[in-house]
Amino acid sequence: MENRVFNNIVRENQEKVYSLFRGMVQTHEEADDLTQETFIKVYKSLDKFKGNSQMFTWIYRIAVNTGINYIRKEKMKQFVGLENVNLKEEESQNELSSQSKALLNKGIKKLPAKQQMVIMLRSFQELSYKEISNIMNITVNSAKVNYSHAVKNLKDILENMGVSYETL
Amino acid sequence: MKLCKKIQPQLILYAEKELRGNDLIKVENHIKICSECQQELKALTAFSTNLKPAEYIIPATYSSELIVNIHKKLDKEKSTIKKFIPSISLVSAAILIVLSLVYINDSNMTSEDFLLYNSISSNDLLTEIENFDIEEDITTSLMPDNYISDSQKYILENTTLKSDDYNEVFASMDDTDFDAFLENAKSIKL
Repeated sequence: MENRVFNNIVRENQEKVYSLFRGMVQTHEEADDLTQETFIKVYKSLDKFKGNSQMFTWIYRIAVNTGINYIRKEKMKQFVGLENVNLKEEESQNELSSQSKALLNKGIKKLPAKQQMVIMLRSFQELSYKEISNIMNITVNSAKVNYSHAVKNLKDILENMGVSYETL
Repeated sequence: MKLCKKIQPQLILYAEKELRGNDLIKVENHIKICSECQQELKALTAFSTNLKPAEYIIPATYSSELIVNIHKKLDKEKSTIKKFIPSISLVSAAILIVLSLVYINDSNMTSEDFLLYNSISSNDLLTEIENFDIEEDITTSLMPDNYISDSQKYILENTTLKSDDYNEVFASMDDTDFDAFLENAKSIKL
């Protein structure tokens, strides 16, 4: 495959993919790493793209799977005690524009991986349930149910952390 | 109260006008008479409206830097000589892990004991596992049956998986399956 074609694919989709990850992680570097990982997977599997869905849906699907794996690896690292959670929290509070956004980020991290992704896609990327269902390979109804559970759980988590939804 | 528990997960969809048919009628009828669900609807609506990401700026040069960095990584991969030795070390590492897991189960060894016994850090172990090219027999022997659904198990048993494929299967797990995975990992005393 010509590099020129691939480079155009990257140019056309990089902002969406980067934004998806940037809402999920605390630093530009982490989002950049995940974006690179996604497009390397895209490069390697372009011959598998049959055109049954839109290119951006296919790329998003790869990005979402990359993101879910990242979240789960982070949870695994925390589980085996490799992650310095306090340091990460300090970093996020320094970087984010307000403390409430840092707390929101902290709350989202407590959600299961797929619920985190649904929040990213629906609330942060403002995709339709139909688009989410195509990207996550689930039914539209499952996308709706996942989102409603994610929002309810997140609201409860934030309330338990003493964060008011009005100040977000 | 029982009805409230059924209705409340649907309130956010009601607020977004995403409910149809019987679901819509049930929710509409319930919130007319339930003050608790009326309040929850108000709170969830406000919450989802405020649910926005922190603002950030994408560097102006990001797109071109990204393309350069991706090609650097791809070129690096292409230029890496296919080594023979790693495949032997991977198989050896797999046998070591499988035997160790069997040993741990028999001996009630703690994770710290295990790592000291094998003179490796937990970071090394995780890196080893993450970088593994997972073959069919290794994958299925490392993952207890209840970590994965029957369909995922079928895929694992019937394909020779490389790490990227494994990641796809891993990503396809339900959240509840993944939580069970973590819970089971705890019970392995590793």
